[in-house]
Amino acid sequence: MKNIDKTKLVLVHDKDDLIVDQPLETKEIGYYQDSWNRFKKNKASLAAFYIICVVLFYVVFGPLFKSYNLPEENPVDASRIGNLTPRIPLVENLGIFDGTKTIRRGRQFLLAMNESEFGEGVILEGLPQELIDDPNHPDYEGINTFTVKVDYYKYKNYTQSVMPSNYFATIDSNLENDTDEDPLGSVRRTLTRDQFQEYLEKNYIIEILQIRESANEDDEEESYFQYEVLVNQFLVSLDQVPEDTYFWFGTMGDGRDLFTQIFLGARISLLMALAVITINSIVGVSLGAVAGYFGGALDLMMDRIVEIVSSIPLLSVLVLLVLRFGSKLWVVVLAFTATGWIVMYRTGRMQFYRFKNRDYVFAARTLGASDRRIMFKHIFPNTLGLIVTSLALSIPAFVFTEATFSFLGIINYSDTTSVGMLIQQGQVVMQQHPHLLLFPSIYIAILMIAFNLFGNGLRDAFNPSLRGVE
Amino acid sequence: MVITFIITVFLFFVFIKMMPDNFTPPPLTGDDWYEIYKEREGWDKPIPVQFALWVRNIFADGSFGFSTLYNRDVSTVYFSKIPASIKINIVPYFLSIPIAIVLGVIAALKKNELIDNIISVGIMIFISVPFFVTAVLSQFVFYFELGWAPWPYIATPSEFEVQGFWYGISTYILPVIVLTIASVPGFARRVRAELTEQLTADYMLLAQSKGLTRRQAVFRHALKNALVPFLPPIFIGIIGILNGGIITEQIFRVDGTGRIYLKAFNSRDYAMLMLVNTFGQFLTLISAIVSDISYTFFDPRVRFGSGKLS
Repeated sequence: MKNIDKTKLVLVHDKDDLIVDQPLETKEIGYYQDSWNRFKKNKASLAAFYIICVVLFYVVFGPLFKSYNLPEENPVDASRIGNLTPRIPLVENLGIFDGTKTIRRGRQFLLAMNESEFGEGVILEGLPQELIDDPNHPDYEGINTFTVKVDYYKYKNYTQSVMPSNYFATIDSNLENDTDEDPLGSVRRTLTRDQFQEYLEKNYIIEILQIRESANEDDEEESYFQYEVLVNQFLVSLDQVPEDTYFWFGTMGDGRDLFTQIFLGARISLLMALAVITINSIVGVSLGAVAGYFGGALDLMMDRIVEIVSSIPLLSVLVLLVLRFGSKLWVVVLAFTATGWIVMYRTGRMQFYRFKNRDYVFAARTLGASDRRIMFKHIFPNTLGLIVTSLALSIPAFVFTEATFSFLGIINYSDTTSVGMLIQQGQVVMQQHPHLLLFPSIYIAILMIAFNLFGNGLRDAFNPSLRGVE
Repeated sequence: MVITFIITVFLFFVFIKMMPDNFTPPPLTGDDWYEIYKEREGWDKPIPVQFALWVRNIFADGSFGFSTLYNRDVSTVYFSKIPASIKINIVPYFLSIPIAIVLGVIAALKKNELIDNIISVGIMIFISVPFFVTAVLSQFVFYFELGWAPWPYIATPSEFEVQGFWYGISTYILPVIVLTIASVPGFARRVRAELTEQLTADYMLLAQSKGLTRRQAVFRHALKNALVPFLPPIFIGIIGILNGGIITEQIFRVDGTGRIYLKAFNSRDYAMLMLVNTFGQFLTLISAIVSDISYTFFDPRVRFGSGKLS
């Protein structure tokens, strides 16, 4: 058939026949162009799309904004600046995220802090002026605690550098129980000579409490020196004063920056979501395509397998795999793909089964197209819209489930973090440090809403039957 | 379905038996339960034989294995926790159904009006935000910030005795509301979608052309048809209540089946895990059967569709 001599072909028309036809004057709009046009009309979905773009931007670049690796280098110094409240530049002038916190502390401690040179500007409001003027003011006799609003960064620095908040309580209990506990215990630092010199040069030291000399057995001329000092903790940890320190979402108990942690967790979970949906769609769609297109015994066999696999709950698979192999990233991916491919399988099978008897497939087959060509070239493009939609909806489903299980502690990464784990850690301390709970929760709520709106918009956009309905 | 159930349970069994630390006798057990159960469950025999013995023990003695966590037979521990799970789940379940139906119907009848938009946005938000976030935030807001709830967790039986019955009941209010709010949106959305579809059907046009008012047509025809698909799931949901919810029980500290699951997971109590998984599969099996049967009761199309009447 291919080797027909071209000269034998004859034109049916006369050469001077006029073909009366006009080119289409409208602009050609393809399927995807049309989908995009309709997607754009859906304002909520479009907004969700932009929100997702912003979140993705932060997921990729967020952790780079703050080059802060103190918790890895020096966990002790990092934990001393833990639980700081959120503070964002510029926004702080509006009265929110300004690093303040309302706390309740003892009267003696507050007065001592207010009078100390180092504690200047810590208390913003809440301490009565009469009491500051006259510590024995009769109006406030018997009131031992006050609720005050403090600049928490300066407050933290004060309690970590000069005087711990239980200073007077320790003194009282010493008197009462006749013990000899050091009230300055948690702020007293013991330095070697070299450290002392270094800190002195950098002006970190606030006060020298004691210098101890001990004999050096090797060299009698030069003896060892130990310096007990009070140091400015923010300068030691961060090399900057509290006024210049900004942790956008605050810090966690061990001094990690919450902003960085949220987006590190988001990055991990989105990468895993990508891996999971890629595996799921490749495995599911190809199996479904084969089963739906060829049918027969293979289809029946796949049906039974799918029935069994789909009746196994994800939770069981995850629990067993985690118990067997530990909470590693690939284990989680495996658990989610072990039962997750079923959804894509059903989509793929349904589409191929539906289209395989269409006229255009018959036409293609009549023209001699192979099975593979029909599947890839003719049927697959028709299924693409549905597949893309279910992918867009399975990303939030994955993030949702992963967050839930890591919140419950079933997924518990040892070397990385996830938003669910952050929320779980925040839940434990939600009374004292609410920001640790609120920020991860708000993040995941916004992400979920945005993804679902986006997915719904996509679903409507790829559904040609809805065209012109809106 | 029964075959699927047996195969999946067998798969669980094999997988659990293949855990590397399954057979190590825990230290300091005190008694010789290890020897007894080794003998009884045939721990030195091949896995299929063990499975057969395990099944035999269930029917012969009602024994599902020995819990290393509680030092008792797992079934006594597990089944004693079911009432607590039911207690927390049953009220939200029956509250959420009428609320969901009402919201769904209102939204469908007033489609694209203000009230529909409000309901739809609310549904969207509560479907999207993970349940555990809603629950934890509600604890934070209503206990720590506003102080409305008496206690963020539910009262234990001893607290019931010490603090009084009404205090105990009042600790249930917050979890019940949260659970209700969490289970309404999905259901309401499906009701709305179903009813919307029925409202545009041809028989509605016919009904109105016969002279029925829109209200009559909706309540006599559309609503009936729209709610039929939801009746079987409502009955199945009652079975699901037995299974409890891990998230709820973890957050509100309910001493129920969900927490047992987590405890068994954390302390690697394999016999308990096996029981929990089997029981879950069993409930799934029962619900599947019940749903298949109940469709013939509720949906005449299934009954008449068998070809006998046509």
